[in-house]
Amino acid sequence: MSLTNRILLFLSAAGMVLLLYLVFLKVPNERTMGLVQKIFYFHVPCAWASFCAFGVTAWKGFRYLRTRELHHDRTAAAAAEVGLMYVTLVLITGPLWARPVWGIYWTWDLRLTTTFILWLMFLAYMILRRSIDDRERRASMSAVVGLIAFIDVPVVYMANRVKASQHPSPVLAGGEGSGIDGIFLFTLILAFVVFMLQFVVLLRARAAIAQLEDSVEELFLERSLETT
Amino acid sequence: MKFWRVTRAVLRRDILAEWRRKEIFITIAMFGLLTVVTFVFAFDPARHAREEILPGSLWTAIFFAGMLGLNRSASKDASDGGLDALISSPADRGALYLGKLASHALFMLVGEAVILVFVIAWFDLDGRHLRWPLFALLLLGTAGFLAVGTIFAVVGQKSRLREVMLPVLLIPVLTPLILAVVEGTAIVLTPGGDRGLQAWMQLAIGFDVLFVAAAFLLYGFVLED
Repeated sequence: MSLTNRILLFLSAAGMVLLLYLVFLKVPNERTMGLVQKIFYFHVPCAWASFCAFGVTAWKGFRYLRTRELHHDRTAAAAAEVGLMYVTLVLITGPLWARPVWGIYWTWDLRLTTTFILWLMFLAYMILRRSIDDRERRASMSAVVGLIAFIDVPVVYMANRVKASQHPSPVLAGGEGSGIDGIFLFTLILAFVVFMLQFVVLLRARAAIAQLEDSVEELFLERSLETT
Repeated sequence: MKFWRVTRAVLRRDILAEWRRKEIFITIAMFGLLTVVTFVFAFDPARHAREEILPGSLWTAIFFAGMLGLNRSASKDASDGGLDALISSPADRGALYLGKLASHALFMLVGEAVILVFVIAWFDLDGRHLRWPLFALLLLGTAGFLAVGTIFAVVGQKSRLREVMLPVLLIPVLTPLILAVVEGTAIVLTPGGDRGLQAWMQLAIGFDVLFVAAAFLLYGFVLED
């Protein structure tokens, strides 16, 4: 692991300890939702990290198509894998919060639907990568799919907004961002910073592993060429 | 000028091949029809309002039948050397894409016409339902579906999962379009006013323009690698 990544890892780990301390021991319980509201400090940063991951996948895919340098594709793939993990966490923590607060695990509202579609896209992207063996072909195909999926996400959001404007949503609780201040705000900002650091660490580590995988594959190819 | 000649050449080649075998058309019409029949049995039209079951059944039939048709077309191109011929030609990749898009659209619209004839009979549609917005939605839905489907079908063929890959990639991307055409169709079929139809139409048009442009630019990459 590179020195930069060690430092980032240390910072994100220390930040996470501080975050856990603040969330569970310092920040008071929210008045109406109580203890369950604390999941918010993990849920929202995860969603944010997953959006960033999606952006990285599309951008690096674009860069690959322009330059044909495989390291762009490795970062794109790493971002998709890490992003898939974050979206999965969003989809687990969301219903855990929604059940006691809304009374239901799931509803097809604007953000939930968009997040779920995002999850499906990440999954499809990973499945595609696994089913193409040729290194260059895998990189191009997944770059194209990543780009198309990326420009689709705002459209998914818009479509659900049109739907929401026509069908009143069953959500009873008010907006969670209303009247946030002091320690709540500081904790939330810290959560964002910690999760972004963590995202960068995971992304870099995963891309480094991908590079190793590629060199192993190349070694095998060279070896088999020598023996034939 | 040369650009459109290429597009026309691809379209003519596909029409000629399809005229001889009639594979894609039969796939789309037959599978689409069977899907609607399945829905008719699953949701008895005598007990449900037309606008409740028809939009979903019709579009599920069109999209799933369309995916079979696209896979048929892409695997035929991969196996009979058509794809290699396209790749080795110096023709503009965008022109090839538009030619493929046009031929797929033609086959699908013919298939949809057959499905529609049966739907009219089974769901007792008349002049109040068969208005221009319904046909506009059919056109917009087909165009948007094929805009992405035409490029993803080639991607699917290049993966080990082949036919399975297309729906896995395509359906998540299509969700805004599915929502737009299904909701739009429901509004057209509901008696009394087309309130809200305009927003869905605009969304479908936006989707079509955006993804035809994106696929037009990206088609060369999936063709060549």
